[in-house]
Amino acid sequence: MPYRFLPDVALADVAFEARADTVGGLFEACAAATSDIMVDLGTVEKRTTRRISLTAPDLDRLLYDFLTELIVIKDVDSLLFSEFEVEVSPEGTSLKASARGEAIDREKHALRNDVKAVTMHMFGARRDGPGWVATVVLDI
Amino acid sequence: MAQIDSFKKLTDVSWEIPTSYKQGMLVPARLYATRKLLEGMDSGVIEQVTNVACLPGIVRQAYAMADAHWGYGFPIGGVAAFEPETGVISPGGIGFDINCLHPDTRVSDANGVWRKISEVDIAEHGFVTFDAARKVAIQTRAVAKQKRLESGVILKIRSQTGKTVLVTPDHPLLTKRGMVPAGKVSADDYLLTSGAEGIPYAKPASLDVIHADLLASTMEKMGITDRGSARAQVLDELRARGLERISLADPRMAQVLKVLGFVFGDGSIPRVKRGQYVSFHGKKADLSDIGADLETIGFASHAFTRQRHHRTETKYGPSAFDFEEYALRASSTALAVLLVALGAPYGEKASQAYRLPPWLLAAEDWQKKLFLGAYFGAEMSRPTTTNGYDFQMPAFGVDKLVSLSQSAVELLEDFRALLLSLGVETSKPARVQGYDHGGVDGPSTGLRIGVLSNAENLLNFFSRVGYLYNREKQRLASVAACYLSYDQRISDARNEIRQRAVAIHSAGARPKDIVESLSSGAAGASFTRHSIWATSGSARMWRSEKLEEFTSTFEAGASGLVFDRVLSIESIPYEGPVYDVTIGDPSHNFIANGIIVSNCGMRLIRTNLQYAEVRPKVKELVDLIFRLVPAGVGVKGFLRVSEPQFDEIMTYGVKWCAENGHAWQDDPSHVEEGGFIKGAEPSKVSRQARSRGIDQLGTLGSGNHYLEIQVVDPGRFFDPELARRFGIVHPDQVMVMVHCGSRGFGHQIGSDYLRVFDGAMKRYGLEVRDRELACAPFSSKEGKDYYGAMVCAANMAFTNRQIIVQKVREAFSSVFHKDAESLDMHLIYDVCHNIAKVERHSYEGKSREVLVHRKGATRSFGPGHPDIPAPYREIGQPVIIGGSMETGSYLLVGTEGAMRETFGSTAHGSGRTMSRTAAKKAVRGAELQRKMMDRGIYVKAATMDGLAEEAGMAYKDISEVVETMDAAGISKKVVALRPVGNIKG
Repeated sequence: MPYRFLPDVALADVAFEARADTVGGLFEACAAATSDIMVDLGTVEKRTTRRISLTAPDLDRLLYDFLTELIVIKDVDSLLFSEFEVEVSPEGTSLKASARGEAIDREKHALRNDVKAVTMHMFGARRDGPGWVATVVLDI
Repeated sequence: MAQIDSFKKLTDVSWEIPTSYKQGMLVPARLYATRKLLEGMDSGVIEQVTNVACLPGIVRQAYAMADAHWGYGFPIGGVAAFEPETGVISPGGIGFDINCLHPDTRVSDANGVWRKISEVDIAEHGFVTFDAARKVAIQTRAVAKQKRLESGVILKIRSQTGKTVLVTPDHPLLTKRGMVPAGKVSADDYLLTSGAEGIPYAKPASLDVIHADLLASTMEKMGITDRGSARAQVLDELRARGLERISLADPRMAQVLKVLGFVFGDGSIPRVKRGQYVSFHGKKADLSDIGADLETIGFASHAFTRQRHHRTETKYGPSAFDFEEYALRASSTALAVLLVALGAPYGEKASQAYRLPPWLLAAEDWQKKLFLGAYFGAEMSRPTTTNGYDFQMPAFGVDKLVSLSQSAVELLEDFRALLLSLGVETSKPARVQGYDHGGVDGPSTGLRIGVLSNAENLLNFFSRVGYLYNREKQRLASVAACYLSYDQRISDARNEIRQRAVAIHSAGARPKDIVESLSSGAAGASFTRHSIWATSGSARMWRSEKLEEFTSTFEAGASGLVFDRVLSIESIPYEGPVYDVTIGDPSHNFIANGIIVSNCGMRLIRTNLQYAEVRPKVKELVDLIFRLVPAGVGVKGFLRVSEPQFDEIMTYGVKWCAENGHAWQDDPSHVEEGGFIKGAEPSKVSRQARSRGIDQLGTLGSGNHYLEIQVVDPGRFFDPELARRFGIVHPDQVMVMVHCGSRGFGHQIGSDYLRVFDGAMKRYGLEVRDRELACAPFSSKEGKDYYGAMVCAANMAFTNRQIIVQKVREAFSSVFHKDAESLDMHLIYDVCHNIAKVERHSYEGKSREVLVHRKGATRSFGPGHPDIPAPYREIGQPVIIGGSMETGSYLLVGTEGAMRETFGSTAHGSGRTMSRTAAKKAVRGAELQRKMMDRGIYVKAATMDGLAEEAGMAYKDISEVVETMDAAGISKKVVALRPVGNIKG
């Protein structure tokens, strides 16, 4: 998995670190980690596709807004996703993404914790050698 | 936690962390905990509560309750209150408010070392602030620094004493009539300024002034042998403080130089065989400044006072007087060795030859100033005039045995060279008449030098070098510098008028017209008329004010700061960065984000049922409630409301419920704040937040939120009389407790404004200790908007819990075939534990409004408070504290103690001690469910993983938390409630 959970960072919440070779890959990994906290990804079929376009002043804000958007879609449209494709502009200020998943089904999906918000605690994406790494703490 | 021993123990259950714990703390932090709880407390709590203590406008203390654990920004279990009015006190060393100033603006610290505001590091550098209440200048810290790009105009304001400030028009300056935006300052205004201009900071060379060889030879000289490993001990002590090797560039050199300078003057390191010490003599307040610097270097000291009788024979006969002597003593051989190694005289000064340490000449100018200033604080005469106008030469002398008078000359020449390197000229050493006297070691003599008393030289001395460790002399030097520059400007202005008068006259103008056009504040008509025929190039001084008059007219209190008339205001186009420093003194007020995201809270309703009746029906009840009150990921509620109705809910909370058939008539009055908090502004809530909130009413959510059927524990029925007032009359009586908030709605508002504040922080270059402490002044647009939106979230949360309770009433009614009224299912209380509110509190003898932040802390108003619903008013507000789902919960009441100590606040729950991942590893959900069933608790959870994460072992012992708060007197136990049925989100 391109992400790992960090149990010692936030006792009451969930923190993870994601890594990828590209910025787009990093965003995909962060999105998958966020979904993984809410549901067993193996139980979510890719029956519907949602396209997301966002712009933000910088890369950190772009990632924050992207993850927040996934949380909003979960609450407003009751959709959960298990696969993501993200393209981030070279200057890191806009993205085009597609997320595949389906409507929440309490019988079918192995649901876990509800994610309420992305926090600013330790938040950030940065270069790490040839690749990228991000740290995110989600409010549960 | 290792630091516990450095905390002040107030009682067995309360501790105080002094402001010296961390730079920038404005108030102490108070912890409520037993020693055991404190030892188990996450060290992040200490960091966070002390960070909160640094926030601008905080009053009294930052509090952490017994259940405190790490949170975002604030600790959970944290309380802090802030002054709501905005009132800024000018911070700048130049006496101007330094909000949004040009990057080259100089900012002085209390030592008179200045840096450009663009280069100031708020974590390291102190500032001078004018304390308007006490009318003194004080040293303080900044808590934030902002930078923004200004495009437009900037004002260049010059004062009569020649000070100039470049400032944006919208930012205030401290004037005689109070804070005034620079754009509204006029030529009639007086700005507060300081004469202590100081010396710019420069990075010192990394030259070692203390090293191993030097320490060894110093101990040799002091007769410290290695017997009993005395030398090794000294070296160990120095090493423990990181002082075994010191370079000029070491940040502690600032304190070292001052202490060393003072030792050359009124300090001494007596020659003693054992137990070396360093003593300092002076005024009480000044000695405490020395004590603070010694502490920064790493040495303790203690002050003492004694009555002295002095009698001496002088040329003019015997002189005798009584006086009280204050002294500070640092008993440390290591300190004595350190100072002697740096060059301080060891033993009686008059009977030995010594010079200034040669490395001082290699030090930066500001370092020389610290050494000299401290020495002059002790030795140099104060600024005083001979005739009211002209200053006496400030002078100091040294006494030596006559046989050593050559060494006295050498020492004074060292001082002269050092002063000259700072551009200050002095007189040659001269013998002081009348100071020759005999002594046990032989006759001695006094030699003296002085600062040449021409105006320019004196101004340079008073404004740039001056005095340290002597508040009175510092104050006088600042006023003297202002007086001299004022004098200088008047004299320059007169010279200019004189020259122009002569020039215009020779060009043919009539004297009458010349007098009319040139006469001004600096030059009266007679001066101008006289000038026309003047032959001398320089104007004769007609001085208008003596120093004493100048001081009494223009000095602000006894601050050394002077009100300085505005001379000119010029508007200049400017594009570039401007800076602002937020000073951590009674000042900006603000609202901190990261605190209040969802008004999560607790609600307790009673029934008149006994456990025996409910026991066989628990499963049925729980299963039904589980269907009626949706829990878990992405669930929606059954109540559908329109957009306008949702606006009403945000504004009127439970009052809306009562008017629309979703509440009983007495429900609103049994909710904190009467069911809704005033000040909601739905227009400040984003579209996204609305869409996340509108269909979540009546849902439980997930995480640690739950709904529990509980029974009053017969073994812990602490106060039956108080319990009766809440309608709890039997042990084993059945209750229902709800713990939840405003769901995604409040969190979205939190995220939205975290973005607003974070964006603002990036744009302004704002620095706070923790990104989650993002904040804005309470009175700013961002702060007000956030408050308006946060109140919407709070009211939505009250409504959410209300809708859930309606469903619970419905479920009980259906299972017991009785209506909810006959089951007496009244609301006992609903209290939020995640909120910021303006409340009125009394402290320091006054009643005032403060903005109280409770993050994971519960309001705990004592008996008699008007905000408590009438039936409970006599006994205090109900406080509902939720434990883990295995250990149970408590009902308490608020107390007078809470009103006195904690702005009417207490703990809220137990607090996690184990991460979710660790809890899941330790126990599986299904296994936990079975174990709980064995103990008579039927649990239904939205997910088994989520259940395991909430296992009781992942939490602190709730009983100890409650006992602590009870023992501390800030809430009082009524009954304990144990769970029999639980719905877990």
